[in-house]
Amino acid sequence: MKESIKNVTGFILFVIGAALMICGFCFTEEPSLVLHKAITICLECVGIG
Amino acid sequence: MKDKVKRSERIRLIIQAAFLALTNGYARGFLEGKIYRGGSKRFCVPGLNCYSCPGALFSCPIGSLQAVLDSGKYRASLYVFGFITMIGALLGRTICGFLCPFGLIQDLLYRIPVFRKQKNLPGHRYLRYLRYGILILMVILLPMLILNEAGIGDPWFCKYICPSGTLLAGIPLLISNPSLREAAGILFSWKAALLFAILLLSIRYFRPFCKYLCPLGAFYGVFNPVSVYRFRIDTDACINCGVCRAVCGMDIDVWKHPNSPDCIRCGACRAACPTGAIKDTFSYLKPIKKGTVS
Repeated sequence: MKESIKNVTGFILFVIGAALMICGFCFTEEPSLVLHKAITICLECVGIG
Repeated sequence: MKDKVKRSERIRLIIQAAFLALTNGYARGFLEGKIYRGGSKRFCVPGLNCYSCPGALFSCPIGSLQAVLDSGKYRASLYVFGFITMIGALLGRTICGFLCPFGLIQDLLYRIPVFRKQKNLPGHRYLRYLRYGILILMVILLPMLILNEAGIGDPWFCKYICPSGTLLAGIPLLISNPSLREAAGILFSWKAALLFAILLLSIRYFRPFCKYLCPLGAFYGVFNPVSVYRFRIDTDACINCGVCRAVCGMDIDVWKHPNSPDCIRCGACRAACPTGAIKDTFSYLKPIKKGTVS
């Protein structure tokens, strides 16, 4: 693959990722879900649950 | 050349340690056996850093992805998936080389001067694909598909495999929290045994977890060939001496595959190259000096 095509592909993927992240942050409950999970001791991660 | 490689490794170690300290700076958590409950935990760090680590100020992307998929509310993730896609497209597996705490631990263990050092486990040729299976099965499919009566799934990777969680979260919390210690059972024993095996292997083999088991590395590696930050070979300068492969802990033919999905972008090859043939994105942004062939 030519370097210029790789550059464009990488940039496009970056923009897509950023757009998904911003949309998810602003319009879904995902950040709240993540926060709720992260501020409670994850018993599964610890090896108990 | 050896001095350049050592200097490059030392700088990388400092960056790794500084990032670990920065993102796990809640010291009070270690003393009291609690975890940080601030709002910053809605944001993910790019590396494998368990959010149940007493010091963690942010969240783990793999843990967060599983938390979204196993909640029963979402079939896909925008926020977490978008974050790791953005990071992967920008940096590829540079995160593994510079910002992952469990990567740092493996690097330090490999420096211990015991055992004859080897790069790969026996069966490396096939084992290196195992991490993709773990990503697809244990991070995405099983949390999403196997639900309990309440419609909630389990974080399969965190629960049954993640050694970073055991080391950074499980062990410190069980040491400082007697009630958790009483509740620990066979699952903890399994995870502790797995952690012990990985740490032991890390003394002899270079980054076995990163090579064979890490789902986050598997994901970021997919972006390596096209990420904004990547390596390139100046074919005019390359003399095919093979020094890049010799110093590469991930055992990559760098001059043939400078952006292999296995590459953690540690930069050892760039430091070791006698002709400066291995360049990164920043090299191409520098102004060209008079008399230099670009």
